[in-house]
Amino acid sequence: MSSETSTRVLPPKGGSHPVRPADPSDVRLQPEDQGFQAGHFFVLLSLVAATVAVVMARPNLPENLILISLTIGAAGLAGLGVYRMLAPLVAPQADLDRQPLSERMRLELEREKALTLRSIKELEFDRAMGKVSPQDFDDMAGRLRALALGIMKQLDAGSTVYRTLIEKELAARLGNKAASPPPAAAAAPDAEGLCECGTRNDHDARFCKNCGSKLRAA
Amino acid sequence: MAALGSFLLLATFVVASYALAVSVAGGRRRSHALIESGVGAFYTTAALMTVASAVIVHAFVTGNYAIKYVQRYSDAAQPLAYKITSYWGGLDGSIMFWVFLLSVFGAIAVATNRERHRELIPWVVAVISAVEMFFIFIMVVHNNPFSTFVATTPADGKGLNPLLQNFYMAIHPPSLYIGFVAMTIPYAFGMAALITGHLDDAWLRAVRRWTMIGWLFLTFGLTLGMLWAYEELGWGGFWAWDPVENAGLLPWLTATAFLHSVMVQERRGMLRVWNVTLVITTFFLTIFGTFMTRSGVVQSVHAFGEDPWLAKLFTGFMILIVTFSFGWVIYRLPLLKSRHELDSWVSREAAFLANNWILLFSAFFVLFATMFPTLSEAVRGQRLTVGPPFFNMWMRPIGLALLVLTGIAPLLAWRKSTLTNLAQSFAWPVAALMVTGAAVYALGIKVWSSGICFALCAFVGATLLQEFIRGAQVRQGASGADVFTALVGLVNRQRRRYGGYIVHLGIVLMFLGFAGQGYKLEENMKLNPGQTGTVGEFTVRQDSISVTNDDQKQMITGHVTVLRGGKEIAQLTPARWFFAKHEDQPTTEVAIRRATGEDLYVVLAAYEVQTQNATYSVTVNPLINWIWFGFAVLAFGTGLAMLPERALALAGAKVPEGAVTTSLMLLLMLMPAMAGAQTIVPRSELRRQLEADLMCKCGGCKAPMNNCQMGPGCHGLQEQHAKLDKYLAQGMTREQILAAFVAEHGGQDILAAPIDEGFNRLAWALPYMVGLGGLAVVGLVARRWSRQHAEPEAAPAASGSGKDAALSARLDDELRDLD
Repeated sequence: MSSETSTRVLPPKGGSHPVRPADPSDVRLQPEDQGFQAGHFFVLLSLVAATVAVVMARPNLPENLILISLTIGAAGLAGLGVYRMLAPLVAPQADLDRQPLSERMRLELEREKALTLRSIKELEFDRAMGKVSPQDFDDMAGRLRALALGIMKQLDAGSTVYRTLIEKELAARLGNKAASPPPAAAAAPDAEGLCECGTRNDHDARFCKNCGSKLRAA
Repeated sequence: MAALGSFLLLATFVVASYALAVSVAGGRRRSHALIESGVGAFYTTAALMTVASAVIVHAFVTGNYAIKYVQRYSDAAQPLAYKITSYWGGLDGSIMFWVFLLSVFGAIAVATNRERHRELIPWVVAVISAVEMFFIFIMVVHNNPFSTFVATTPADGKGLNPLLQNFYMAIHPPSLYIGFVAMTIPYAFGMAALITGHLDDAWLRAVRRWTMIGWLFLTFGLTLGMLWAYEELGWGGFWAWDPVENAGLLPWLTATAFLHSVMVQERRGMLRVWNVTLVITTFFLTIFGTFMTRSGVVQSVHAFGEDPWLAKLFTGFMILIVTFSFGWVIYRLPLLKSRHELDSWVSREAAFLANNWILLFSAFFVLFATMFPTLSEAVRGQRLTVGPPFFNMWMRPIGLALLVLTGIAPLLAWRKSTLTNLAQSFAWPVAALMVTGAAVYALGIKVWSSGICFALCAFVGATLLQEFIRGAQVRQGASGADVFTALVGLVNRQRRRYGGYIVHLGIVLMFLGFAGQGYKLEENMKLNPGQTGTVGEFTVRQDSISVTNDDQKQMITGHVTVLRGGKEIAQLTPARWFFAKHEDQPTTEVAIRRATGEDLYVVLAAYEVQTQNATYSVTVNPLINWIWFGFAVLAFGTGLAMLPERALALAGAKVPEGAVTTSLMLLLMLMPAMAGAQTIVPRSELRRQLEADLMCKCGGCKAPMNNCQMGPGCHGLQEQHAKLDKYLAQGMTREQILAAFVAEHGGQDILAAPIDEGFNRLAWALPYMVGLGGLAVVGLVARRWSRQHAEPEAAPAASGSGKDAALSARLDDELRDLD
């Protein structure tokens, strides 16, 4: 897979579009087909209010009407913001450890990978231009390759989690009572805060600073 | 409406404080709900400030003069565009505009970085909210833009300052504010990285684009300010080292240093403490610049005024910023240890170190010299003036040193350059330097700094050209494409590097424009109808004076014909505009004939409508348009460097050839100074020098006599000229004349630069001592780095060699696909 296409939205390795988890406590990862949402309500309300205000406005100069519409639109956004401010406080707490990679996180990792690959290519260019000696190239490129491999492992691990969630969802819908597989990719560090993705963390870290997975205490 | 506005400000303050508290709690407890609630509150702040901004703009547009701010900065006859731009025309509105921009940018920064930098987000929200709270607090308790008249509502407003009713002035403040505000984002991410201890390079990647955006808008704002000063103020120049101008320059210098030193951290894991310090310093300077222009600690024609209460508030905030920020830096020092050593002084890392030293030295020099009048008043009870002659004298060598480094750094290798490397890389650029230097000497170009600048521009231009050619050759060898395709592919694939080189090219072109100032020609000429006067190659003929009116103003327009070699080449109409509501502030409408090699700049200084006589100030400004063109090239380069990873076709990308351009400019420079015609007011070299040394007494322009924007018609200036005539007629020397002016005025602030003796020497001595001290510190630190052993890199976890080999193979495939 070429990283030139890495910034497009990609389906996971299984080939199907990801089914978002049904965990209602996750206010970010809502199923796409959930219907009327808070954002829709505030947009509609703003449109209605702006229409009424524009009809009743005096003087009805274009600049006046545009400003009124913008003001009401911004007020609608403020209302949505207040909803976003208060909704998480009343929703059940999400379990950070069990959250899979969201689509946005995947895109961010793809972007990170693309940047790392670009840095390796730049280094190769520097070597060809004589700006980096061969041993320095080996040293710097080695570091960048390790970083890129770590990100690729994270991406692969994330798609595994999606597969597990899809299986769980199917099992629940078919009424299959088999025990769900354990959550994937709970990182098992060797020692000293080393995560499965290859990132070395501080010795007292509880979560990996690179992939966010929970680390077992040393 | 006013009550709604005030309520919105108060509500924003409450919501911002909620965002701060909840984000801190959520970040400490790693509570997803609290963090999300904080982010929601953060977005709400942006929405509320948008509503508040729309309310104030609506008040301006509909002429709601019950609001004092609207009445002060607008009137019924003002064009709609300037009614809208009056939003940021005064102090109160400018603070609200700042908060509006910060809230919107902050919301965008948080939304785009939420997934990748999840652990940093709560602290980013907290820091930005704290800054917002400070500015909103100022508005709520002291500078409320929505405060109203208590008794009677005026029927009309006073109107915006006529000088601000200009296209450049409409976009210059927003551009500068965007630049200032954008620097808060890197600061917030830097602090978040310090607080969470996540000090790998991830936070740098989050902030680099924001720093470039802020830097670009700061550059744009500064250039627009220069353009405005050039076209509107009528003194023929574009930069007066005014405190407000310097306030915009300071964070630009430190941001430039950061954009370079960040590359060293990314490549070699060095300068980690320094980069965090630069981010903090850049943000601090944006606040300091705001403090300077709004507190009254410095005197400036651009300043908003004097406000001791505001001065105290800003001082407290700045102390808090310094204590909080550097406290965290000191606490996290063990995590900020450098990963590698400095292997050689002849390396790119060393060049970037030197670059940083010069930029920070420049910033310190400008800051100290700007504050020196305040310092001298506090220490000696005597306020001095530190004007353009002082800055120009001491900043020139620093600017030239920076230009040298611009050429050297791209030629050096990372870690260590070998002798072969150096010989191959420096041969052509040094040859270009020598050839241009010899040509400059042979042509008898007398201004030493301009001559050196031309030679250095050739050096840097040759460096850039060489990088493009060699890069294209490498790409050709790898891809087998033709040279044009290789060049396009080269720039496309190495956008950051070659975008940066194009930015450097823009800087070279701007320096060319600066160097041209050494050959400026100016004359004052009093002309009857049909009479001519000559400056350089140009002859100016007076035709007539006309008087016209519109709803806002009366316009007195001079009509002149410009000739060169006996041939008519232009008709110019310099004018003075007298606004009905600001009769004491007439504007100077300059007439400019622009060309690649020089501008002919004509100002209507005085006039007699009945006799149709007029006095014109005529200036020839060589190479000045290269400054504006250089900025356009710089902006293009920055835009290219900021483009995201998706490929961009660059068909037709052109790189100007720096060496050829420089030679052409040198040829265009051949303009012998001609003797003035009978209508030219003769000015000796001593007189010109004294006009640069003495400040205008009018008090409004705060400029030297040769830069007074009121022109020869200014009453304060006319008094000064009369005294100068008297002293020169008596045969007094420069020092005697300056002493006489000081004695008559009762203070040294009549001088454009402090007399170089005693305490006054500190104005340049202290910054230079600090600069040299800084160089010594850089040298010591670099020496210590070069002696310490590098930390061994953490080896990746081995989880099965088969799996790793497959991944490695995939990685190699993807790398191959990139081309």
